[in-house]
Amino acid sequence: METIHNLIMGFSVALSPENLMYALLGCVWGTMVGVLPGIGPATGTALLIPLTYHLPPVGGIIMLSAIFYGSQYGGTITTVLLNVPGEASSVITMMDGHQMAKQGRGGAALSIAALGSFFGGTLSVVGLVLFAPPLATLALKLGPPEFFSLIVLGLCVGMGLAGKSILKSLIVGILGMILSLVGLDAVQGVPRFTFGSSDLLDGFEFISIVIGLFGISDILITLETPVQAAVATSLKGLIPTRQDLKRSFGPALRGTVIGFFLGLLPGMGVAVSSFISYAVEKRVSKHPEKFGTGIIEGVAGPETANNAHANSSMIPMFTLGIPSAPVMAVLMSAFIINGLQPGPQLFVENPELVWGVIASLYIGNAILLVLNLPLIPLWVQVLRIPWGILFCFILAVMVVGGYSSNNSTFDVRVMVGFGIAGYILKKLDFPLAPALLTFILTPMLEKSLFRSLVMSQGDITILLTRPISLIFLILAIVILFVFTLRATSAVKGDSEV
Amino acid sequence: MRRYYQAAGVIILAFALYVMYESRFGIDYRTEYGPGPGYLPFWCGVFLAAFTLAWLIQITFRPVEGLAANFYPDRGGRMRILSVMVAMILFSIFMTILGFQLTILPFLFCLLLILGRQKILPALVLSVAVGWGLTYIFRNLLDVPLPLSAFDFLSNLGL
Repeated sequence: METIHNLIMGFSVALSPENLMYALLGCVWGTMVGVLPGIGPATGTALLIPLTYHLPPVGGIIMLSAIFYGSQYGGTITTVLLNVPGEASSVITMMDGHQMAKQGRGGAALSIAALGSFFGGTLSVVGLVLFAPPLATLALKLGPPEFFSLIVLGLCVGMGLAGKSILKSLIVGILGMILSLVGLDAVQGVPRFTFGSSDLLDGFEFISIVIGLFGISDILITLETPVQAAVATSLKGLIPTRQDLKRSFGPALRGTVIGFFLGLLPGMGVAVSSFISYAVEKRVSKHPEKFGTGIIEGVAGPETANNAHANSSMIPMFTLGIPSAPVMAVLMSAFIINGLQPGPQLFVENPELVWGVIASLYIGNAILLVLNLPLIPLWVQVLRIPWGILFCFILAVMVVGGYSSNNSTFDVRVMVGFGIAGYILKKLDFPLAPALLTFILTPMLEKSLFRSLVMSQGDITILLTRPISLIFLILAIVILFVFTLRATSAVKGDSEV
Repeated sequence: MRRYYQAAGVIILAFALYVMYESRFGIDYRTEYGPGPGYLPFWCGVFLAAFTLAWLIQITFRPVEGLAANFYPDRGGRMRILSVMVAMILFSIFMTILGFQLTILPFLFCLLLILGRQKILPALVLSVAVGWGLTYIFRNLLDVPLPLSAFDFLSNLGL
């Protein structure tokens, strides 16, 4: 009953004219981010964080959240019409979506993707409403040692799922931790690794790191091959047939379940949900041989899964303060910049904000549905601009975005440096997501560790003597062990082949 | 590929050792209240060194996949990447000297010539329009104090 009351309060917040406008802006920008090459949701969200300084916190967070789920749909447009995935989560949609476009059914594919995204996104928010409050209440009972172990567990899952090599994920993750330790120590105010530079006293700016590691490095990778304007397949009727709708219902339902549960796991990329959904649809289909030839089930399942994933990945951040993906880490930094700490306390201290954002997810999904179908021709026109020109403008916006987060040219240099470092790390096949997750979580981790050790007068075994903390740590070790075993057997398998 | 991995591993290992040294001897490891500011960095350094060492052993003694076909970009690709890197580095340096408006102009102009393959006149028009548009949006609408030139005669003109 209390949940329904809170949700009604959330709707009253989200339906205010200005918050509706922020949701609309976020959806449009998010779709644009999904459509444009070389700019992912994490970078797209980070670029707009400086804008939120001038907005009320609820409006800012509503807009930034809309960017994430908007980008999931935007990626589908380029995938279906151009055979170029705008986002990693749309890669699998190329298989059938573009084939449908070639057969003159691109409009139906995009409509089903939009309907599926709405369906998955909305059901996933229902899950969020049901699961988040009890989880937050439970999390409130955790003390510093339990919280420390919980963060360690979250990081282990995140790093384990991030890449093919667990060691590479761990290395990048710890590098992210060390980067976040640069600057004044949060507990005692002592400078660390600043080399006497006053610019480093506040540490590295998170937005500069995100834009550098994800935005600039992505553009550099894309520039390795000649960039030219993509040729869009012509778009005919947008209305799907009754048969399309009927055949899409089952895949959309299964996609929602897959996306929702995988979205809860830290480090689980949205693309994984889409791929698993596609594999499941192929497995349950009576005609698996037709997959890849332009079959509607191959669009409905993955497209529903990625939006369900996008919405459910907000649960760990809202309830535990643990971001499950780089874009969630960016969103979490926006909370922190606005003076809010994501986690269980947020439900108690800022119920209007939490429930306002949750209600805006429903509204945002509806906006996406209404907005995107008529706007498809506009996005196609945007894609006709040669990519070389688009990249120049995107780079210029990134530079200003990097600067405006702190009004500091030092941050621009940091962003460029991380862009080059990110490019090199990507070439060497290092996953970059763990660095962002650890960067954002390390201050909380350090505070929890400090408080735990103060509680125990310096005795580190407090982490092992409290049962819940011990369970979390055992789980973390088991997870790392399982991922190591999986990686080892994969290497063995490869070498035997 | 192995050589590149090993070089990266050695650099990361050296970094980990520096972090360990600095956090043990450069910052307080412990204080009277409990762990000091060097406590967590020290252990991060230890774990980073251990994982990097394990990875170095793994890539040295286990078969490593061959060089990916597209590991080295072709000459055109190298030029594009290098031009973006150089343009961004120069931008970050000259932004404080010349101010934002006068730096974004050549930045966009050069990139439009190289990446956008535009002719001189369209590149010039586009870079002026976009540079002015960005300045207007961020300075006037979003209240971001974009840097002005270090030279008084330019900053007095609002550049």
